[in-house]
Amino acid sequence: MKKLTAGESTITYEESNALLVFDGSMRLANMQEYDVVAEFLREASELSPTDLTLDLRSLRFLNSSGITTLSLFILACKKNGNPKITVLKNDQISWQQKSITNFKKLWDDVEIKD
Amino acid sequence: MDLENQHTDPPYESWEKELQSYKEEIQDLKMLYKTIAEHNSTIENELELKNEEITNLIQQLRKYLSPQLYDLIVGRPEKASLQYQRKFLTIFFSDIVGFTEISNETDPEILSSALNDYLNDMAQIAMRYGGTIDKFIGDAIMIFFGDPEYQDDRIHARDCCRMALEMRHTVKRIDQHWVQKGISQGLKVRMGIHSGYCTVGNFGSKNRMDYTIIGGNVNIASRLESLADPNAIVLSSVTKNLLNEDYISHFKHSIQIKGIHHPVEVHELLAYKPSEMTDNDPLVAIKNDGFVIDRIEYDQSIHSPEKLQSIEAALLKILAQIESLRT
Repeated sequence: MKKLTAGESTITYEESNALLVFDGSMRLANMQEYDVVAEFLREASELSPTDLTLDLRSLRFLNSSGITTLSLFILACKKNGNPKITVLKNDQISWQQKSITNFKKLWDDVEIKD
Repeated sequence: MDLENQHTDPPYESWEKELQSYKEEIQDLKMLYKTIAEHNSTIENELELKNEEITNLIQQLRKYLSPQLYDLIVGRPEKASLQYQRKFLTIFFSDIVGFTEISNETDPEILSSALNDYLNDMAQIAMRYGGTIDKFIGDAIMIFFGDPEYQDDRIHARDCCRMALEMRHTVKRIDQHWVQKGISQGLKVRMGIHSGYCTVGNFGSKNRMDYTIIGGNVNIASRLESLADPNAIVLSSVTKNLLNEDYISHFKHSIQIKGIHHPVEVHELLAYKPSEMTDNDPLVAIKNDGFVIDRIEYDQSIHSPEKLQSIEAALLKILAQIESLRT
């Protein structure tokens, strides 16, 4: 299990379940600060090349640089054709209601589950 | 050169593929832009809502908290110091009649719940009229008008009196609930109002401050309250003189208060005559669709024959109005 702390948030990667669990409030200052997050996601996608689940249900807040990082990651997976992305969302958190649905518009193969 | 064959040349195919790839990338970037923009809008809208919530909360807090605690909360600790000043205020006291007996005879849980409901209702009314709740002293309430926000002495007196009248109206409703709950005495409240210069500010130590008012005029307001009959609102002449003719009151008597060199005139506030009423009778106000009458008292030993005539005139007006309402 690998863990990345990004400000007030953490991302935990479980290779055995091909699962990325996001927790807390992700509000790094700019895209440059998100480089570590982008790299962490890229490594996870290489270790889980078939399927990868992004569990965002405990991610209370994500700023615009954060949504850009996640969106670019999904576009990179789309370009590669893998891994197949599943996103777990929580409609109780207002930012997730619309923004996560848009992931599917970025790549139609993305599966979104409540 | 055959132009049609030119379209099938290998370089053209690679350009077509590259163009397609760019088109897809542009499509992705458009979608990415849309995703980020919508995400930003969501966050901004939420921020706006939260800002509104915080603004409303701070406004509510301003009413509930002492100014120095409010300043501390909103980030102005430099203002939360031991400061005080002299100000002309209108001061209100109220007290439940026979509360000691009620406490002795009522189940503590029922009494606590009833008392809290009563104090909450009174606090809501006080806030609606812009009163600053100084403190709750058991069943007693101390409120003043004129600080921290000063408007006008007359407005403060007027708002305080309208608050008291509404409180009395609400007390009559709560009285029935208390009886239903098993508090046989019900709820009766005395209220006293006086206006005058007080020292207002933060008193105490640097670690424990109370925002309150002190001075002889505070004592007069408290004393007036203690002299009021059950469910009566008494005013000093100072407050009465700040009211206009919309407020119906009558002179009761003069009293001597310990520490005050001059006698204090006591008036009883009977009603606020809303603007739609057309009659200036101090005892009854006739409206198009009804009438308002407050308590009428007559004692031959103290009242004049003119008073008896005015009561008779008022009763005749009411009878006439009853008759007209029937038809």
